Amino acid sequence: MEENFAHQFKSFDDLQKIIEQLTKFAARPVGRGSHPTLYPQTDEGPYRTIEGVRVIDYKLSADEKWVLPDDQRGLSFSSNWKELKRVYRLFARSKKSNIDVYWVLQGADLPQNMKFVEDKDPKKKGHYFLTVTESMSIYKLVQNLKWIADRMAVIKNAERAL
Amino acid sequence: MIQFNRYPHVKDLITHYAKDMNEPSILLMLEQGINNEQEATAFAQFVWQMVGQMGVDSENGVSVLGRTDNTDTIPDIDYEISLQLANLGFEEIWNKICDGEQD
Repeated sequence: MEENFAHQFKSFDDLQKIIEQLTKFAARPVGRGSHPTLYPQTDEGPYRTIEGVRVIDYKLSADEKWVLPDDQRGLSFSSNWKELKRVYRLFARSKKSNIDVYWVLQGADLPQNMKFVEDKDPKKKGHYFLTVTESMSIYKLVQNLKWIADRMAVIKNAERAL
Repeated sequence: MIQFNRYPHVKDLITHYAKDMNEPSILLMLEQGINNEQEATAFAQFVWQMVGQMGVDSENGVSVLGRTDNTDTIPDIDYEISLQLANLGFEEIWNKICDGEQD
């Protein structure tokens, strides 16, 4: 039966294209054990985090208590296979023992005032930001990111797909 | 001058590792830009090597730019390098290196 199913497609590339059209996924490869939507605490520098949110990823108010809407700022996701494959291989290059790919359907329910928006750079088609569409407290954003993480699916042996 | 506008810390990492790995030609490219395919290939190959060294430093607990593990910046690195090379018309060089075709 599997053989008959496979014959409906000229190649796995065709199958990949069909899956992409059907699902519109958004994915994030991370080292095993890392949180899919939050970062480890970093107190200083450009990677600085507040409750796991990198200050570089979102537009924040001056007191850093509020996240302000910006349709080109947000946690980075990809639905571009080439990009996902490169990132996966770079993680493998860094000898991270295992890499997991977390993904969610772009059409899935998201918390209120959050939305996937495609990168406007024409060279970055298929790259998405998980944006905020209305101001929210950073603590609300953290809650939302945890909520989304709880609903993301994970591929644990992604080298077969990528 | 090469600029990384969205994730400027990528330049900090490349600068650190170009010094650490004794690659003055990479520091020169950061200052003067990438001018041709040969330089694009050398730059991309260096970043590939750098990511390997980042893993080694992480394993050994070496602090780089204040952190002992910078591998969570790998998606940022890919974002900036692929964009930089795509804007110069050399996107495929980065794809091939990450595919292991030009290590």
